[in-house]
Amino acid sequence: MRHVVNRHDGAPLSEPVLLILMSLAAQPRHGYALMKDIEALSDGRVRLSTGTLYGALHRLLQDRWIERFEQQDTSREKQAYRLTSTGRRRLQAEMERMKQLTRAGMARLRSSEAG
Amino acid sequence: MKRIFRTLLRLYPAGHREVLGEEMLFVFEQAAEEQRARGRLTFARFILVEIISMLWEAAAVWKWHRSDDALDLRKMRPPQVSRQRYVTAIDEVLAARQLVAVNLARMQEAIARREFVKARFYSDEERKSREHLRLIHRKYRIDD
Repeated sequence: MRHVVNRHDGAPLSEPVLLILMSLAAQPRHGYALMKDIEALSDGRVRLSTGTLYGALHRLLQDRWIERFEQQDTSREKQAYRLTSTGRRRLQAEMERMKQLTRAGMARLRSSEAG
Repeated sequence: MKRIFRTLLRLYPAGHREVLGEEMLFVFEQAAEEQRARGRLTFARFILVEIISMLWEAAAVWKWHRSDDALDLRKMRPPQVSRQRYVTAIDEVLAARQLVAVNLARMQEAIARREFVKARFYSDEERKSREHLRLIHRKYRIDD
Protein backbone atom coordinates (compact mmCIF):
# COMPACT_ATOMS: atom_id res chain seq x y z
CA MET A 1 0.00 0.00 0.00
CA ARG A 2 2.99 2.25 0.09
CA HIS A 3 2.75 4.91 -2.48
CA VAL A 4 3.90 4.87 -5.39
CA VAL A 5 4.95 7.03 -8.35
CA ASN A 6 6.31 10.40 -7.49
CA ARG A 7 5.69 12.39 -10.61
CA HIS A 8 8.12 15.18 -9.98
CA ASP A 9 11.26 14.61 -11.96
CA GLY A 10 14.24 14.02 -9.76
CA ALA A 11 12.19 13.26 -6.66
CA PRO A 12 12.95 9.94 -4.95
CA LEU A 13 10.90 6.97 -6.08
CA SER A 14 8.83 4.92 -3.70
CA GLU A 15 10.09 1.44 -2.93
CA PRO A 16 7.45 -0.47 -4.96
CA VAL A 17 8.12 1.69 -8.00
CA LEU A 18 11.87 1.38 -7.65
CA LEU A 19 11.62 -2.40 -7.33
CA ILE A 20 9.28 -2.66 -10.32
CA LEU A 21 11.64 -0.60 -12.47
CA MET A 22 14.64 -2.62 -11.28
CA SER A 23 12.89 -5.86 -12.05
CA LEU A 24 11.92 -4.75 -15.54
CA ALA A 25 15.40 -3.39 -16.23
CA ALA A 26 16.66 -6.95 -16.60
CA GLN A 27 13.88 -8.26 -18.80
CA PRO A 28 10.18 -7.83 -19.57
CA ARG A 29 7.88 -9.63 -17.14
CA HIS A 30 4.21 -10.21 -16.56
CA GLY A 31 2.43 -9.37 -13.28
CA TYR A 32 3.03 -12.51 -11.26
CA ALA A 33 6.64 -12.84 -12.42
CA LEU A 34 7.18 -9.24 -11.31
CA MET A 35 5.73 -10.01 -7.91
CA LYS A 36 8.04 -13.00 -7.47
CA ASP A 37 11.11 -11.20 -8.77
CA ILE A 38 10.51 -8.25 -6.43
CA GLU A 39 10.32 -10.67 -3.52
CA ALA A 40 13.64 -12.16 -4.59
CA LEU A 41 15.23 -8.76 -5.26
CA SER A 42 14.38 -7.58 -1.76
CA ASP A 43 15.50 -10.82 -0.10
CA GLY A 44 11.92 -11.66 0.79
CA ARG A 45 11.43 -8.36 2.65
CA VAL A 46 8.91 -6.92 0.18
CA ARG A 47 5.91 -8.83 -1.06
CA LEU A 48 3.67 -6.56 -3.07
CA SER A 49 -0.04 -7.22 -2.86
CA THR A 50 -2.01 -7.39 -6.09
CA GLY A 51 -3.58 -4.00 -5.41
CA THR A 52 -0.27 -2.28 -4.71
CA LEU A 53 1.43 -3.88 -7.72
CA TYR A 54 -1.31 -2.87 -10.14
CA GLY A 55 -1.74 0.56 -8.58
CA ALA A 56 1.93 1.21 -9.29
CA LEU A 57 1.77 -0.37 -12.76
CA HIS A 58 -1.24 1.79 -13.59
CA ARG A 59 0.62 4.99 -12.77
CA LEU A 60 3.81 3.84 -14.45
CA LEU A 61 1.79 3.12 -17.61
CA GLN A 62 0.21 6.54 -17.44
CA ASP A 63 3.59 8.20 -17.02
CA ARG A 64 4.86 6.02 -19.88
CA TRP A 65 7.78 4.74 -17.84
CA ILE A 66 6.67 1.23 -18.76
CA GLU A 67 4.56 -0.22 -21.54
CA ARG A 68 2.54 -3.34 -22.09
CA PHE A 69 3.37 -5.41 -25.06
CA GLU A 70 2.33 -8.53 -26.80
CA GLN A 71 4.36 -11.60 -26.09
CA GLN A 72 3.98 -14.76 -28.07
CA ASP A 73 1.78 -17.35 -26.36
CA THR A 74 0.40 -14.90 -23.82
CA SER A 75 -3.23 -14.59 -22.93
CA ARG A 76 -5.05 -11.38 -22.09
CA GLU A 77 -4.51 -12.17 -18.41
CA LYS A 78 -0.79 -12.40 -18.86
CA GLN A 79 0.43 -9.27 -20.62
CA ALA A 80 4.08 -8.48 -20.25
CA TYR A 81 5.53 -5.14 -19.20
CA ARG A 82 8.80 -3.58 -20.22
CA LEU A 83 10.68 -0.38 -19.48
CA THR A 84 10.41 2.50 -21.92
CA SER A 85 13.44 4.68 -22.57
CA THR A 86 11.97 7.28 -20.17
CA GLY A 87 11.60 4.63 -17.48
CA ARG A 88 15.16 3.43 -17.99
CA ARG A 89 16.50 7.00 -17.76
CA ARG A 90 14.50 7.59 -14.59
CA LEU A 91 15.84 4.40 -13.03
CA GLN A 92 19.41 5.35 -13.93
CA ALA A 93 18.92 8.78 -12.36
CA GLU A 94 17.57 7.16 -9.21
CA MET A 95 20.52 4.76 -9.04
CA GLU A 96 22.90 7.72 -9.35
CA ARG A 97 21.06 9.57 -6.61
CA MET A 98 21.27 6.56 -4.31
CA LYS A 99 24.94 6.02 -5.14
CA GLN A 100 25.71 9.64 -4.25
CA LEU A 101 23.78 9.34 -0.97
CA THR A 102 25.56 6.10 -0.08
CA ARG A 103 28.96 7.67 -0.80
CA ALA A 104 28.15 10.71 1.33
CA GLY A 105 26.76 8.57 4.15
CA MET A 106 29.78 6.24 4.14
CA ALA A 107 32.15 9.22 4.18
CA ARG A 108 30.39 10.64 7.25
CA LEU A 109 30.53 7.28 9.01
CA ARG A 110 34.24 6.92 8.27
CA SER A 111 35.00 10.41 9.49
CA SER A 112 33.08 9.85 12.73
CA GLU A 113 34.91 6.54 13.29
CA ALA A 114 38.28 8.19 12.63
CA GLY A 115 37.52 11.15 14.89
CA MET B 1 -12.17 -15.77 -2.78
CA LYS B 2 -12.35 -15.11 -6.49
CA ARG B 3 -15.84 -13.67 -6.05
CA ILE B 4 -14.71 -11.32 -3.30
CA PHE B 5 -11.79 -10.16 -5.43
CA ARG B 6 -14.12 -9.55 -8.38
CA THR B 7 -16.38 -7.50 -6.13
CA LEU B 8 -13.42 -5.45 -4.95
CA LEU B 9 -12.41 -4.88 -8.57
CA ARG B 10 -15.73 -3.13 -9.12
CA LEU B 11 -14.49 -0.36 -6.88
CA TYR B 12 -11.97 0.66 -9.54
CA PRO B 13 -12.69 3.05 -12.44
CA ALA B 14 -14.03 1.30 -15.54
CA GLY B 15 -10.89 2.03 -17.59
CA HIS B 16 -8.62 0.43 -15.01
CA ARG B 17 -10.94 -2.55 -14.63
CA GLU B 18 -11.24 -3.18 -18.35
CA VAL B 19 -7.54 -3.00 -19.04
CA LEU B 20 -6.05 -4.55 -15.90
CA GLY B 21 -8.96 -6.34 -14.18
CA GLU B 22 -8.58 -9.83 -15.63
CA GLU B 23 -4.84 -9.68 -15.21
CA MET B 24 -5.18 -8.64 -11.55
CA LEU B 25 -7.54 -11.52 -10.94
CA PHE B 26 -5.10 -13.93 -12.56
CA VAL B 27 -2.19 -12.68 -10.43
CA PHE B 28 -4.31 -12.78 -7.28
CA GLU B 29 -5.29 -16.40 -7.96
CA GLN B 30 -1.69 -17.44 -8.49
CA ALA B 31 -0.52 -15.66 -5.35
CA ALA B 32 -3.45 -17.10 -3.36
CA GLU B 33 -2.58 -20.62 -4.44
CA GLU B 34 0.99 -20.13 -3.30
CA GLN B 35 0.00 -18.60 0.05
CA ARG B 36 -2.60 -21.28 0.73
CA ALA B 37 0.13 -23.90 0.58
CA ARG B 38 1.99 -22.06 3.38
CA GLY B 39 -0.67 -22.65 5.99
CA ARG B 40 -3.92 -21.17 7.24
CA LEU B 41 -2.49 -18.28 9.21
CA THR B 42 -0.30 -17.11 6.32
CA PHE B 43 -3.24 -17.41 3.97
CA ALA B 44 -5.54 -15.44 6.30
CA ARG B 45 -2.93 -12.69 6.59
CA PHE B 46 -2.50 -12.67 2.81
CA ILE B 47 -6.25 -12.26 2.26
CA LEU B 48 -6.46 -9.46 4.79
CA VAL B 49 -3.57 -7.56 3.19
CA GLU B 50 -5.04 -8.09 -0.28
CA ILE B 51 -8.44 -6.74 0.74
CA ILE B 52 -7.01 -3.69 2.50
CA SER B 53 -4.65 -2.92 -0.36
CA MET B 54 -7.45 -3.25 -2.93
CA LEU B 55 -9.59 -0.77 -0.97
CA TRP B 56 -6.69 1.61 -0.55
CA GLU B 57 -5.54 1.40 -4.15
CA ALA B 58 -9.05 1.75 -5.57
CA ALA B 59 -9.34 5.05 -3.69
CA ALA B 60 -5.89 6.11 -4.94
CA VAL B 61 -6.69 5.20 -8.54
CA TRP B 62 -9.98 7.14 -8.35
CA LYS B 63 -8.16 10.15 -6.97
CA TRP B 64 -5.64 9.90 -9.76
CA HIS B 65 -8.37 9.27 -12.30
CA ARG B 66 -9.99 12.61 -11.44
CA SER B 67 -6.78 14.59 -11.75
CA ASP B 68 -6.13 16.70 -14.83
CA ASP B 69 -3.26 14.65 -16.21
CA ALA B 70 -5.00 11.30 -15.93
CA LEU B 71 -5.18 9.31 -19.13
CA ASP B 72 -7.81 6.72 -19.78
CA LEU B 73 -5.91 3.45 -20.07
CA ARG B 74 -8.44 2.25 -22.62
CA LYS B 75 -7.28 4.97 -24.97
CA MET B 76 -3.65 3.96 -24.74
CA ARG B 77 -2.33 1.77 -27.51
CA PRO B 78 -3.58 -1.75 -26.83
CA PRO B 79 -0.74 -4.26 -26.60
CA GLN B 80 -2.02 -6.29 -29.55
CA VAL B 81 -2.07 -3.23 -31.84
CA SER B 82 1.23 -2.32 -33.41
CA ARG B 83 2.56 1.21 -33.02
CA GLN B 84 2.23 1.74 -36.78
CA ARG B 85 -1.38 0.61 -36.83
CA TYR B 86 -2.21 2.74 -33.82
CA VAL B 87 -0.76 5.86 -35.48
CA THR B 88 -2.93 5.13 -38.53
CA ALA B 89 -5.93 4.70 -36.23
CA ILE B 90 -5.38 8.06 -34.60
CA ASP B 91 -5.13 9.77 -38.00
CA GLU B 92 -8.28 8.06 -39.23
CA VAL B 93 -10.20 8.94 -36.07
CA LEU B 94 -9.14 12.58 -36.19
CA ALA B 95 -10.06 12.89 -39.88
CA ALA B 96 -13.47 11.28 -39.29
CA ARG B 97 -14.16 13.51 -36.26
CA GLN B 98 -13.25 16.57 -38.30
CA LEU B 99 -15.67 15.53 -41.04
CA VAL B 100 -18.49 15.19 -38.51
CA ALA B 101 -17.72 18.65 -37.12
CA VAL B 102 -17.57 20.24 -40.60
CA ASN B 103 -20.90 18.71 -41.68
CA LEU B 104 -22.55 19.77 -38.44
CA ALA B 105 -21.27 23.35 -38.79
CA ARG B 106 -22.48 23.53 -42.41
CA MET B 107 -25.88 22.21 -41.47
CA GLN B 108 -26.26 24.77 -38.68
CA GLU B 109 -25.10 27.51 -41.03
CA ALA B 110 -27.68 26.45 -43.66
CA ILE B 111 -30.45 26.41 -41.04
CA ALA B 112 -29.46 29.88 -39.90
CA ARG B 113 -29.74 31.09 -43.49
CA ARG B 114 -33.05 29.24 -43.91
CA GLU B 115 -31.57 27.16 -46.76
CA PHE B 116 -33.46 24.06 -45.79
CA VAL B 117 -32.60 21.90 -48.82
CA LYS B 118 -28.94 22.48 -48.13
CA ALA B 119 -29.51 21.88 -44.43
CA ARG B 120 -31.14 18.53 -45.16
CA PHE B 121 -28.21 17.57 -47.40
CA TYR B 122 -25.66 18.36 -44.66
CA SER B 123 -27.82 16.66 -42.09
CA ASP B 124 -27.60 13.45 -44.18
CA GLU B 125 -23.87 13.96 -44.62
CA GLU B 126 -23.42 14.48 -40.90
CA ARG B 127 -25.32 11.28 -40.15
CA LYS B 128 -23.16 9.34 -42.62
CA SER B 129 -19.93 10.78 -41.24
CA ARG B 130 -21.05 9.93 -37.68
CA GLU B 131 -21.72 6.34 -38.75
CA HIS B 132 -18.29 6.24 -40.42
CA LEU B 133 -16.72 7.48 -37.17
CA ARG B 134 -18.59 4.86 -35.19
CA LEU B 135 -17.25 2.11 -37.48
CA ILE B 136 -13.70 3.40 -37.08
CA HIS B 137 -14.12 3.43 -33.31
CA ARG B 138 -15.33 -0.13 -33.44
CA LYS B 139 -12.54 -1.20 -35.76
CA TYR B 140 -9.89 0.12 -33.36
CA ARG B 141 -11.88 -0.65 -30.21
CA ILE B 142 -12.03 2.97 -29.11
CA ASP B 143 -14.79 4.13 -26.78
CA ASP B 144 -17.02 7.01 -27.79
